[in-house]
Amino acid sequence: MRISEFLEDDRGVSRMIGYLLTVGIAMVLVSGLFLSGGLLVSDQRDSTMRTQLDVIGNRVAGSLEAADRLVNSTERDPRNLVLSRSLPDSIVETSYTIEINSDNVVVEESGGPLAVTVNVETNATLSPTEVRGGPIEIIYDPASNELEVIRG
Amino acid sequence: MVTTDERGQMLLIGGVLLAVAIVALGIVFNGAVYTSVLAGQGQHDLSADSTIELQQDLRQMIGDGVRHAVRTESKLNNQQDEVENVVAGIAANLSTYEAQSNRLVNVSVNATIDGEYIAQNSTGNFTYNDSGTIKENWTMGSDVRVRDFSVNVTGTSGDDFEIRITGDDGETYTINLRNSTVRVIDPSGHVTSCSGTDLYPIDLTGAMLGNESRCNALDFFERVEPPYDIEIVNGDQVTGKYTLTIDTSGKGPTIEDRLYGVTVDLIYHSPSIDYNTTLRIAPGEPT
Repeated sequence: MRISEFLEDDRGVSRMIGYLLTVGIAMVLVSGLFLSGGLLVSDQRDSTMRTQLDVIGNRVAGSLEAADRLVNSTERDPRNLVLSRSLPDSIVETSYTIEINSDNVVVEESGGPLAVTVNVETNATLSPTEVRGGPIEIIYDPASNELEVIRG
Repeated sequence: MVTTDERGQMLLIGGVLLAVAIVALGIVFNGAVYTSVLAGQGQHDLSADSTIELQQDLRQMIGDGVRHAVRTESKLNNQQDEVENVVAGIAANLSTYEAQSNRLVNVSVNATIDGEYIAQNSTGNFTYNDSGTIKENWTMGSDVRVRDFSVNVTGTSGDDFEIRITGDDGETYTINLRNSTVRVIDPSGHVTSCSGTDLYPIDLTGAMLGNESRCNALDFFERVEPPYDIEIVNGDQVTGKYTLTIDTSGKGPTIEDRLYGVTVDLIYHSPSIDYNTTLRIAPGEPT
């Protein structure tokens, strides 16, 4: 049998089965593409989220230490010290919280597992608090030698 | 029945899904770019540090103003007026300059620190004539702060002359001058020293020998908790001259009222910082 006769021979071939095979294989390929694409997006999102949490955590910690340096730059405690920092309200379309502890800052994704901890060293005491992510103010209380973070 | 032309729909669906994935990635990366901008902003957000720099500049400028007032005016009240004029001038210039950077800065005199200039201008023993009684051990000042404390010893008859500085916490540092060596004994008994051929005059508060070389042993003044007591021990074993300025009243052969320093109120407003404090400025005072 010549090749041309072989190619034109449709004995034992079902069009329905051929169609199903084509669609099935195509579906498997497309599903695989969709899954891998979704995983890639999810991984990138987590990676980006973690990086952004780290940046914000370091920004808050740096601001606390800067306020502390200012407090210690004079012999007398300042009568008033308020540092304002503009931070984004959300990261990758997700809200977050900033938790201030005695020696570190924890920035955490709301409703998610991601959290970053940044250590802080200050002479003044840090008032433990938790605020929603966004613009903040760092206030010094000379009576208690405390630095407090509030939502700005 | 599916024809050859209709099978291309699966490719179309695959292409659409790929496009959706790419758009989602784009949204994620856009958020990352914003954070990069935010991180970069943080490096330039130096409002607190620039405020500290401003304070250092003010200490330098107003400290120079105090020295100028003391140098040009002999009476205390004229020295006070002069330094207030200096501060007013600095405040006016600073206010205009900082306003150009969208900052409100105001500096004003809170109070002057009036003290005394104590001196032995003629060569003699470091003793004190207390109503006719010559005392080799005496207290030059109690609960004081000192600046520009200079000692010029031209002769010694023993090795036991000491200047004792006792801080508010009761810790005592002892300065012992022997020949060409300055010895400092700290409260624990540890001794540090400086030697040299050109020792005098010694600037005790500035930690300088002969006005040229630095003596790290004299950095102890920065660790003394103010106010402190200044005592002379065995002052009959040395001869020479000395001068110092203290922030209150004391004892010595020659005493005159002198401006010691000034406290100024600083108000600093900018979009990112709101700061209000008082600076103590006394040029030459150990800090």
